[in-house]
Amino acid sequence: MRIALFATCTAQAFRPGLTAAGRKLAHDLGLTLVTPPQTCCGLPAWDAGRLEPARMAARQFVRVFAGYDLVLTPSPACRRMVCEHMPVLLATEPEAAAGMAVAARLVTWPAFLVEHVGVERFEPRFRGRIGYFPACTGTDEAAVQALLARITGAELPTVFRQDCCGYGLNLVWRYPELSRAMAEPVLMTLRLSGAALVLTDEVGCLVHLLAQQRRRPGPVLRHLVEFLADPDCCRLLPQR
Amino acid sequence: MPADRPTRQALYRLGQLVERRSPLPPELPPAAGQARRRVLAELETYLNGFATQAQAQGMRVWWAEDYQQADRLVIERIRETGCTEVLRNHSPLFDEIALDRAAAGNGIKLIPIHPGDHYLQLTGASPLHPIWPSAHLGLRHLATAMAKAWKVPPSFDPDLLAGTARLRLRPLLLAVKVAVVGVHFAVAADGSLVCLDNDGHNAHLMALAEHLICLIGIEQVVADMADLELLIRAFSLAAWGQDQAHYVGVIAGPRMADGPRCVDVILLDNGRRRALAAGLSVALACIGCGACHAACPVYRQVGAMAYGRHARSGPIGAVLNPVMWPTRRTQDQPYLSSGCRACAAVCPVGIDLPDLLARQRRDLAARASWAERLGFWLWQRLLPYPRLFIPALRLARRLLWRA
Repeated sequence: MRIALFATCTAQAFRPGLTAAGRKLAHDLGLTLVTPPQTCCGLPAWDAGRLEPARMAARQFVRVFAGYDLVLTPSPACRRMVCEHMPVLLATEPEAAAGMAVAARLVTWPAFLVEHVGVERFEPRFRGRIGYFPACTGTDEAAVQALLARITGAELPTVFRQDCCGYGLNLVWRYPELSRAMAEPVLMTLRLSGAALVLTDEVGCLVHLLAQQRRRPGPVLRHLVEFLADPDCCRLLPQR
Repeated sequence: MPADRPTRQALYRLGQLVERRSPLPPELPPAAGQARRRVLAELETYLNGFATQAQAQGMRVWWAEDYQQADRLVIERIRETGCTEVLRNHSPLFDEIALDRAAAGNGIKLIPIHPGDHYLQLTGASPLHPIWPSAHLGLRHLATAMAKAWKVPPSFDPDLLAGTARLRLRPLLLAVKVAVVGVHFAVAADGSLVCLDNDGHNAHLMALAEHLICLIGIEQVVADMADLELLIRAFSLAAWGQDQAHYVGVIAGPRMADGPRCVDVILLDNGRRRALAAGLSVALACIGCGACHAACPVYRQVGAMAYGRHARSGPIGAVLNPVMWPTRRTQDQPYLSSGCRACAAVCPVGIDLPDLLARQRRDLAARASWAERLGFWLWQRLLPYPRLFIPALRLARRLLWRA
């Protein structure tokens, strides 16, 4: 199975370690993961109502990711762009059918790990309270619960109620004060939960919350993939 | 841009209140939405039907194209009665037409009988939310304002303050001659006007006033009592988490035995026909429950004050205001969103707010600043080159993202 990594421009620019962790995880699981040269799915342009740049990004996306059996992404927001908005953008373009095909093969990490790899290959360990922050753009909570259930040693793995961290729709450069203010109640929830570690499967939330947390006390924030790729946190079992 | 801390705390509590409710029954939004869309598709027919029936019931029907005309019509009706002290109920319509200001400018004392609105008038604060207008007023602030306005000794005991308010407002209600009432629905089939609340202030005003001046937006017409029943349920569930309103007040014209001797109804346009012409009839299905406000994480940081004095605020306001009342400020509103889609889940008439907001942003893209246009031009040029695009993104963050 040929799998491509849709790294996202956010991860490439602001969390390259996440891309490296994803590649390492795939390698350790014995999977062929390719990271083709790529930039952006076009979500910022779509959110700004600019169809021409968004359409250009959509056509480029199809060219880059066509021909793989599966495309993997660390961002439900980008996945929603490709699956919901890209078909609209490409409806009258020659890439329409190819676009639908790519969209059908695009998955986020939790869904991929549960359905295509199998939870039994993961033996995560963590001493302390773990929390999970679901993205408002569509975290597969069932898959996340299945993965959290595998963690040994952790106290009360909790999926927090859905809230919005304030990263989306270009708020970070349009209304930065507002974007900052929206992260506050989320960080408070995370802090008050007493969790030592909070995971998420959305790189946008991760980058934004990390920036807002800065030097304040609170849980360690990491992407689910970074957690699972770290041998101190997770043992990977061979395929049976 | 975010509101001050006490306001944000009040907004957060409102959000919690709404979040703890059970979700809407899944069959309700499509049914209620269809009832609204059916009427909006032929709005002029239903409006004329309502006007005919209302007039047959003995009401006087007036049409206000904009808020200034609405103010003039209300003031004229009040002048006809000779009264200079007039009561009003709670309705976002009064904020939309800035009636308090118009009345004060014409020597008319317009007193809100709804305690929340009355406290807003005492403190000079702006409303927080269409259903809970005064939830952000702190006890100290309110107590100080009451002490100053009513010349009573200051107290921070909530029971004492509530009792004082009752002693001040009840006699006004019992002595009411003329009342201006913002109503929720107008029933086209029989020309009646409907008010909903949980404390009875509307029902009292309707029963006790001799002369009622009713105000309603033209989009709030419903076809008949069956529609009304459905929409009252939709409104009550979405606004208050209740299956029904505690009080449903129905005015069906002036009566001989009891109720008002004279009823005027002013039908307000103020940009609603502009919205219809722009293809936003789906958005005008809004029944003003405010659920989308309480669910919206952006609104929870800024409150209704950030959207200006318009027919709507919050997510639905961000959809309608740029079309109903196009200004630079209203045309910024569709960008006040994070794309979380919480609003769509709570709308009782099934308005696809995220989709409409995206549509507004597309329509408004042409008026972007030169800086934004330059930014996206660069974005597009660098898009095929990861070795340029990614470092450019890092640089952009350093320069632009002050968050």
